[in-house]
Amino acid sequence: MTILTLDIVAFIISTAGLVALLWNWKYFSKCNLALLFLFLLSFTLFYNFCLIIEWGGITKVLDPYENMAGAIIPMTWAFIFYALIINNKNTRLEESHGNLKRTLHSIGDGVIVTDPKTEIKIINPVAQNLTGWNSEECLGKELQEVFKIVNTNTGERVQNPVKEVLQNGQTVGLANHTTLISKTGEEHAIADSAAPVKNANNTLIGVVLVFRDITEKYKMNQKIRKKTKNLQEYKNRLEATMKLGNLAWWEYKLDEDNFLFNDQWPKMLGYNPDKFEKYADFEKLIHPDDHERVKTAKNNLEKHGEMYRIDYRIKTNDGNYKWIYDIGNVTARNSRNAPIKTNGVVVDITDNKRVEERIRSELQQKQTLLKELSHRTKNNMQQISSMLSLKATRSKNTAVQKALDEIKERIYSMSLVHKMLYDSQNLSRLNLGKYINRLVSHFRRAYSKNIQFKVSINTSKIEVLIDTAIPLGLIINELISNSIQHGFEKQDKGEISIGLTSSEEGIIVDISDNGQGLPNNLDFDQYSGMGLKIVKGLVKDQLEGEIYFEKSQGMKYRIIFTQKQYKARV
Amino acid sequence: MVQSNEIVMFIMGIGVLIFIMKNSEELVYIPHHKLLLRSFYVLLGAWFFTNIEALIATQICNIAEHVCYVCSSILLTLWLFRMGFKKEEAE
Repeated sequence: MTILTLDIVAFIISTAGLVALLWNWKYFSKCNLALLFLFLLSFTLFYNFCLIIEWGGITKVLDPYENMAGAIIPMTWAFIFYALIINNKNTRLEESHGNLKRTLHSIGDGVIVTDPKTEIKIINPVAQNLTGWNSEECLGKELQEVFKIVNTNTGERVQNPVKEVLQNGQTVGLANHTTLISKTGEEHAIADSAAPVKNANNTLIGVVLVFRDITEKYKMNQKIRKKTKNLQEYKNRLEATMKLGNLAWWEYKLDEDNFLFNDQWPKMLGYNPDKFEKYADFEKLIHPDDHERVKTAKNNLEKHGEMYRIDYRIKTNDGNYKWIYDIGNVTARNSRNAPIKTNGVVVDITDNKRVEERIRSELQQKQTLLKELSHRTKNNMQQISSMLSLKATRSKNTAVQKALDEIKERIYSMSLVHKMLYDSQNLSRLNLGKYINRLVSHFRRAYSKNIQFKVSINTSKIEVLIDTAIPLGLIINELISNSIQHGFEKQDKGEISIGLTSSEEGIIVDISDNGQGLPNNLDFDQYSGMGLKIVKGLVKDQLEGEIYFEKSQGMKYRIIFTQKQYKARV
Repeated sequence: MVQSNEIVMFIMGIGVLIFIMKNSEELVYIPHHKLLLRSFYVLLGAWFFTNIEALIATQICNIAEHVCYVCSSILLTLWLFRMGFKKEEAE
């Protein structure tokens, strides 16, 4: 009774199994297992049915069939396991193939797989894109036809790496500067390698070629190489120039407390560069008299960012001092605008200092000499003037007296220039306004007539060379003498105005009087009085200027000339 | 009494067992393979019991044989149902 129950349960459960099979029939059909399981379950049900009949005591007629079903069931199991194994192998193979395909499609590099005859078997999309061939066109084609590579520099065909792999069986990298020419003629700089594909028996069954487009990288490298070369050349030029000019540089990174300098600086002082590591090594060599000045300049640079240009003495290896010209400035600041890096240049100016000292000394000597010369010239002129005065007072001829007085006035105007030069700090130039004022003061004292002198100096900045001052003094002297002697011949009162202005045309000197002037029929240009002849000659030859004349209500003269530059005579 | 058809059935089952052991590495890839294999092992057990019941403990072995049939059916049915669920998961 118990066994019969068990058989019935087994029959029912197997029926449920059959239902499950039928429910999932499509799935099992795909795996080619549906019929096998149907077979198994059918015979299992039949076997269970036979057992129920047997144990129910109904009939023994099914016994032979039960035996037959009992033999078929293990065979069916065997087929099922075999089918499952095959099916799983196929599934895994398909999955593996699919993964491989997806991987190939996902790779960012170009991949071409060939067989040993170099016929293309696989080509991924990147390789298709770079070669310009699609997979339908190139599968089965010779690699040489699709993968055309040349040397970037020479344009010559490069040996196909696949052939090398087939010959040696070793991985081969592409040569440098390789360019792939696509089907459409586009050029791509490429890099990478070809490797052998071997089966389980280590037999070469193909070659896999992996390459990538490095056109941009290649161009960038070319640019970098060119810039590096230019930089190197620039650096060499700079170094050569610095060496030639005996220049050295330094750099101080404040935040890192790192002091850098080129070897030229220690070498300039005759030291071995290895002995210098930090700024303090240089600082201790600065002359004690200059030390504070240098320290202040450095502090101002590092704290306040104030650029400095400073010369100081620094001790050389042989115990002497060299003069150094040091220029320092801030070259980098942080977000708070505080200096973080300073750079500077150091120049050996010892020779310049020596020359400067010599020049200063020579200049001092020359200034003293020049001053002495001016002083003596002035004295000599005064002596001549005194002698002329003496001669004039002794002469009974008024014409001679007059001529001697005129010469005396001329000498005075010249000696005044030397006096003013002697008195001033500048031994080559004198202030024209002051000169005219002093000259006019002399006229005021010299002439007894009641003549009023009006002087109008519009600019106090005109300073002229002795070459200009002397002829101008003579001109003013002549014109004023003329006015006094001829313009106020018949009158005791009069007014003489002297003006000095500076304009775009040049320096303008105006001299006018309210005397009787020249007769109307007299042409100034034709007039050949001694005084005016001298004036015209001086204006034209010495001042290289122009003189204008007007004779309404007395005489008016205008002299225009430009500043003269010093001309060396020796 | 030992029956020839039952011996044949058991020997064939042993043959299948050897096949399973030889291909055990491949069989692990079958979904829920443990259920299916256990179903077969239990069935093989049933065939074993049906042969030895003639020699020892007839009654117990007989019951064990039929219990094994039930268990094998259950395991196989479970596997079939589970495969159905797996199909749904895949979809």
